[in-house]
Amino acid sequence: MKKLIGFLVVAGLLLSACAQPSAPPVVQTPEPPPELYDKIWISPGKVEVGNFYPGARAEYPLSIHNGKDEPVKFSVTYRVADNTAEGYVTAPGAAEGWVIIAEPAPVLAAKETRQVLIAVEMSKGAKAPPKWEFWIAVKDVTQTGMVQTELACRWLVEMRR
Amino acid sequence: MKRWLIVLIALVVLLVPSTAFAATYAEVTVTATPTYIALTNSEGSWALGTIAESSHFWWTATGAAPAEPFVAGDMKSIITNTGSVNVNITVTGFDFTGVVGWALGPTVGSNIVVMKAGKTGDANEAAMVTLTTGAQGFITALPHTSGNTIKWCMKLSTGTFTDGSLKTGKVTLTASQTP
Repeated sequence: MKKLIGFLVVAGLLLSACAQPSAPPVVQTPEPPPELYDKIWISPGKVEVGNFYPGARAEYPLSIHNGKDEPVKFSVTYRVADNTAEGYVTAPGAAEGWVIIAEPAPVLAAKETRQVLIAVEMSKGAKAPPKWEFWIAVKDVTQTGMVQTELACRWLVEMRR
Repeated sequence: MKRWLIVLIALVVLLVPSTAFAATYAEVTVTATPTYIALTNSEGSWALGTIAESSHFWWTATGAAPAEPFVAGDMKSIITNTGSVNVNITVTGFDFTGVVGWALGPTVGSNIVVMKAGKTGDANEAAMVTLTTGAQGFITALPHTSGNTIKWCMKLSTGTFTDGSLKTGKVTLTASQTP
């Protein structure tokens, strides 16, 4: 009987330990089409965060590929969404301070793909709309021409109801 | 009796924590599909050379004003969506720099210029996007499969200048996954 009780107590403790609210995201490793090998690209194009709340943290790695034959320096920055998905509004002004970019100025070797961790850590007590959106912009800063290109990843955040 | 009490306590320890978490905390979820955002633009520069005040300059195939509606043959540069999903493209202008800079404006003025961006299919010049230092919608849902290119052009209108120094301007095209 004592063994049974001991087992139940241990099992209970283990189960309660497993029920933490911060499971890491399942990251699908990008396997780009071969034709993208010599292009600059980012992946994913969209990250969706659900059940978010003040004090919570969500993170996801942004893959950046340098398709050029020489090293390229990129800038990885927070960007107010130019337009938003249906039902979403642009992130509150404070959101820029909640976003952490692990490597804001990575230099990638020729044909290198690198993951840069992006995290959103909303301050406790902060307020946000039910559904808000911000972008992470990636730009090859070695571009010298008048017309330059930039790639952006949408982050769609839905707050816990 | 004592044994049953202990069993009951053990069951409470077993069951209560997980149900409590389920009721109080829905886990933060993070999901993403491995889509690829990639974009090329064929012509990156516009070397205007020496330009006059109160004049108009076109960045088109021939340097002349395009026919209306705008057709691909008259455009200057090709944007290609080389990614794996449709993209929206916004365009952002930057004020010209160089001693006394030129600001972008809706109408020309002293050290104020007007820049516009247009694309194949635009009905006329009025349909072009007048550039500002804020991002503006330019192309919606450019496909990633067939028809993944679009040609575009620009126009610069000058005002008056207070110096003759070299000026440098910049335009950024930003691609994002079409929602």
